[in-house]
Amino acid sequence: MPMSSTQRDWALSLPAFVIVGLLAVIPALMLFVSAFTSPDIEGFTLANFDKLWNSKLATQAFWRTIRVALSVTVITIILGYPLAIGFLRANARLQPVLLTLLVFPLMVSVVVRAYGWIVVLSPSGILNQTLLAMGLVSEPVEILHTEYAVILGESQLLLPYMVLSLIASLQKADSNLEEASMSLGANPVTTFFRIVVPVSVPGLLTGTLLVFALALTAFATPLLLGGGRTPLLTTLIYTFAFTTFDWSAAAAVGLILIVLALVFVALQRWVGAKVLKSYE
Amino acid sequence: MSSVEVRNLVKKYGAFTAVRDASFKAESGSLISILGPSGCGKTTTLRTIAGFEDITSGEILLDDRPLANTPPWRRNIGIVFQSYALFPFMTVGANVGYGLKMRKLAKSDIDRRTDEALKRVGLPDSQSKYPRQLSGGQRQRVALARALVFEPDVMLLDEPLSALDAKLRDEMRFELKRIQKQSGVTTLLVTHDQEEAFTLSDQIVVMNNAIVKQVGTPREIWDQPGSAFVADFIGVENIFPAETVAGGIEISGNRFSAGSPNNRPDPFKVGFRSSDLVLVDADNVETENRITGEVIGEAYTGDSNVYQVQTGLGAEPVILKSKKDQKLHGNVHMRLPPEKILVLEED
Ligand SMILES: Nc1ncnc2c1ncn2[C@@H]1O[C@H](COP(=O)(O)OP(=O)(O)OP(=O)(O)O)[C@@H](O)[C@H]1O
Ligand SMILES: [Mg+2]
Repeated sequence: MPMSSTQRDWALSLPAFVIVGLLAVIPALMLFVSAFTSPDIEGFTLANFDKLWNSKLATQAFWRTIRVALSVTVITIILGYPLAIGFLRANARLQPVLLTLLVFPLMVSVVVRAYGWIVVLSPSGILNQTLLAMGLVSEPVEILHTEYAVILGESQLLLPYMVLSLIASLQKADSNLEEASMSLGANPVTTFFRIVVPVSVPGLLTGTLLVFALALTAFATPLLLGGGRTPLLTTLIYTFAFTTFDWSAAAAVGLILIVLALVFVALQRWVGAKVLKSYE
Repeated sequence: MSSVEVRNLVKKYGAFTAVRDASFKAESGSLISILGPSGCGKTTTLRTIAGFEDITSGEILLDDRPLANTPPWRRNIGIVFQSYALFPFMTVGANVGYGLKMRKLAKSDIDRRTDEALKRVGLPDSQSKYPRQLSGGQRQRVALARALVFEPDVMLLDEPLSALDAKLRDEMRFELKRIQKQSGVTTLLVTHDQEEAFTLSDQIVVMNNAIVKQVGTPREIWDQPGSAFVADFIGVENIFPAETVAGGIEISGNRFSAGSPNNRPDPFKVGFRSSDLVLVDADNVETENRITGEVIGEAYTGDSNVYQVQTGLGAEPVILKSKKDQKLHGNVHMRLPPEKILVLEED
């Protein structure tokens, strides 16, 4: 008997399922299992989480991770709007150049860019030398290896994602909307908040999801700019796995990170469903 | 209601001049249209009045008050964009009420006036719909209501009917006229459709290549187009270069008697409408203003036949319109009544 079209579809997608299953589901399951087991205890246990809960380092890293991801998201939104609007207002001949400038950093290794920031931010770096030379400070400011350095580095890293998302949604809108708003008596500031922002909400939601998720899971930037003094969940995993060889603790942190990301995705979807009802 | 006057308006984009020395005035409560082909500077003129473009030189006056230092949001000018530019994420009610909200009216007043405005454009009970749920014609009505609800001094319409299909366009044309008359708002309409301009306007400003070619009532422009461009644009089919001779004019050596020789520009062209040509019999003894030629092409337009007739007036064939049941072929004889000859400036 010949295969029905659904059967054929299943047969054709089977290899993909197998590969995805092997590459993604199994490691996730293993992560799950090792997060709830401990070498010293029989069966499943919450001991790993308990240990993290009582560790100041771990709880600090948890809150710091959320703080950094939120700060980075907010910063990229604040910087994203002027850049996206500037791009769309720019001369048509200039736009391809601006787009290249915007996307180019994405082609440079994250590590290279972190080293760039180190050169700028370190105690003997460009920033401190300038501040000292101008007499604004009497001794070097400590920025490198603080949360601020991580926020700065990640914001710069993730800004293009926000700008591109905003451009995509603003570009789709009728170019006369702002003028219509002004002709109806709204000044430019009112027009921005009442028209431009609402029009860009779909892009804002996408951009927020992208930036927050990437900020949450960034590794190289916090490692190089935050250092050991300001661990985030990702760098904590690294420390547990490769410095203290506590694989169970590393798995537990990994699971927390996944849950954080899922909570945020759910939140984003929920807001999206509420807000976007009046769009599309 | 206010009058709007544009005085010697010049708008340049770098070295390119989009509007060159335009002057016209829309009296309070009247409807004036700017008519011209694509790219002639109609929208640019409208946008300078709205305040979206700086002007290079000249003046725009609202009731004799210069607008130069008034930003768009304080001009109290309602605009209907060609794309309508309705706010997609707002309901129809919120769209129409936006201008009132910006004027800080009480919620109850906003609701009442929004309802009134929607009723006036024939869309009651659509407050809670979204623009995407409306047809093109309905969107156009919402845009109109939104531009009128705050009682603007002036309303600007940029090709408001061009996005509609032919049947709806005819309907909306009458609607537009009715709504404009009812509200009494001074209105400036941009269009490249001469029929629209003629049926709606009190005054027409004809533009070409950034220049205002003629300003006048529809009747004036129809009866006395000033230049070959205007005549051509409003559909005068036959236009030929001519010169003044004793007792009349000459077109390629053919003598015609014509109206008074006064005010003839030099050089000039003459124009005449296909429907103004009178067919005559070959053996008619009256030979004054006779044009003879051979039919070389024909087209049927529903209520008439249109013929191309090769004549001695020039290389271009003469266009002749005959009644539906009147078939022509071979040689035809036509008479051009002297009073139907339009004297046109060359451009
Ligand atoms: N921002 C701008 N920069 C440079 N040139 C412009 C700009 N806006 C318009 N122009 C030019 O000015 C001329 C007039 O444009 P405008 O939009 O006023 O034409 P229009 O009469 O409204 O034509 P249409 O019927 O096609 O809408 C065009 O040649 C156009 O290319
Ligand atoms: Mg235009």
